[in-house]
Amino acid sequence: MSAGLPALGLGGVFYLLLIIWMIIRGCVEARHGCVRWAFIGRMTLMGSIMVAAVLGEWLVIRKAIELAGAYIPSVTSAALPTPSFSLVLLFYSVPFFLLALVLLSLGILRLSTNHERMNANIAALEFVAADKLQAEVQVSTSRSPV
Amino acid sequence: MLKILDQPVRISKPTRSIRGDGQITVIVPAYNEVESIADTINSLRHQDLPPDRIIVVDDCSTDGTGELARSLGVEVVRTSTNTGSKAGAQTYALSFVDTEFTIAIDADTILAPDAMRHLFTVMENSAAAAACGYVLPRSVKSIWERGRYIEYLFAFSFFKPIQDHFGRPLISSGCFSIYRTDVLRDIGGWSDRTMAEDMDLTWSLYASGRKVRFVPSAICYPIEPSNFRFLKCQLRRWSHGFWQNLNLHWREVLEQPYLRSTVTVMLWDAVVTGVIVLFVVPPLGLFVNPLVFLAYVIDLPLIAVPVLAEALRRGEFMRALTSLPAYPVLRMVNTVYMLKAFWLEFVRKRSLRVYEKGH
Repeated sequence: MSAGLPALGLGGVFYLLLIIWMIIRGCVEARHGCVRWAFIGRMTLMGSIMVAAVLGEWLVIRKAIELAGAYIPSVTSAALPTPSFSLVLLFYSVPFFLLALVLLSLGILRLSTNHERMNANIAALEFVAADKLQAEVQVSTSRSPV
Repeated sequence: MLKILDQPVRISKPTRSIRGDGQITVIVPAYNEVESIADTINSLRHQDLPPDRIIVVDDCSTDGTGELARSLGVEVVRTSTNTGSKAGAQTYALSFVDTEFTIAIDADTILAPDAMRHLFTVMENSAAAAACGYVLPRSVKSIWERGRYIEYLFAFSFFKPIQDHFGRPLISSGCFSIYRTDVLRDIGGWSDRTMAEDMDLTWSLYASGRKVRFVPSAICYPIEPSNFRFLKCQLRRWSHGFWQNLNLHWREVLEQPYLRSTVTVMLWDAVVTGVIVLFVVPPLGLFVNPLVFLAYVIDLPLIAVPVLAEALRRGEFMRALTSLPAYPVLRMVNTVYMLKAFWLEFVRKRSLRVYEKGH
């Protein structure tokens, strides 16, 4: 079940980055067989075509606006002002930035829960140690000569 | 269905019947499934690797599902009272299983003739505790079925193989999965504490250090909701189930590499992108620039790449191409239900507890 915009939302960017990570991991670990590499190759090809499809669509939309603007001059200015290169770059970098932010938050959450768990473990160990110490004291007291 | 059964069976290694070896039991939970149970049983019988036992759990049906299943020659066990959920019926049947592997299949699902063999082969040759197959709607006619067809083609040919590569498929689909029986018993079977028992089981398996695999060659065909009434019930169950599982397992999920990122990204897309799609895009489109409405369909070419590639491979290119426009519609409905479920589960604290059947 998909919700939001899985392709243009963070999901699309995330899975495309995972494909790149697959290649890096495969090269570093160097323990993948032919089947795994064939799979990585197939997914890389698919990912590349997906990126090309997005870029192609962007060009088509721009061309369509330009064509419409040739006949109705108000369309171009009303639709999309010609974006500068830096604006386009910013537009494409937003999902990456957001994804980094989300994954960073996830890391912080994980660290804090680990910290909580560690504290709980320490408290439990201290409790056990104190309990043991008390038991030992009791034993030594009972053994002490009257 | 007959078309599927008539398809030539592609066999990559000699067919081997394991009947009598005591290795596979199929559990079919059924509540008022008289219209579809015969197809499911016939499909199980036509497997090139047939199961040793087929147990239909008649969850106090009132339409004669149990009698029909019995007349088809399979074992039928009837619960004393209606268990109220698929999980309850499946766990009830688990006590009757005496084989090494257990397959769970929905009573409205049929299998490709080699599906069980593909799942079994993976389980035999790996240490996985569970494996799931590729899901495709049996009928692709209404707008909802068409949307679901695209959703499944996209998920099972792009998302799920990547998840499997990293060893963490998000979910072992409840409509068709195989499990090691001893592991299933260790975990306590299928729990009815959430509305998505398959997600609950999968995440419990990960939490206990077990592995789950996705087997794309094992294909199953469930009946998907053809109208909005059934779709509504299904989406309510799935969306509430997701949030309930997140609430229940979030600490364990945090410890699972890749799974934690997958779930977090899914959470973001469900909530933040969902809010943008429903509450930000419409006013921007109406009052700022109508081109903003392109946001609803702008990712279609991206989705179309894996969908059409897979459809082409399956000889269903035109079906996929004509179904593509239905996907944004279904996605909008999904978004509404995910946000509503989030609101009810976490803000209003009104957790869904009644299992509504909706295929």
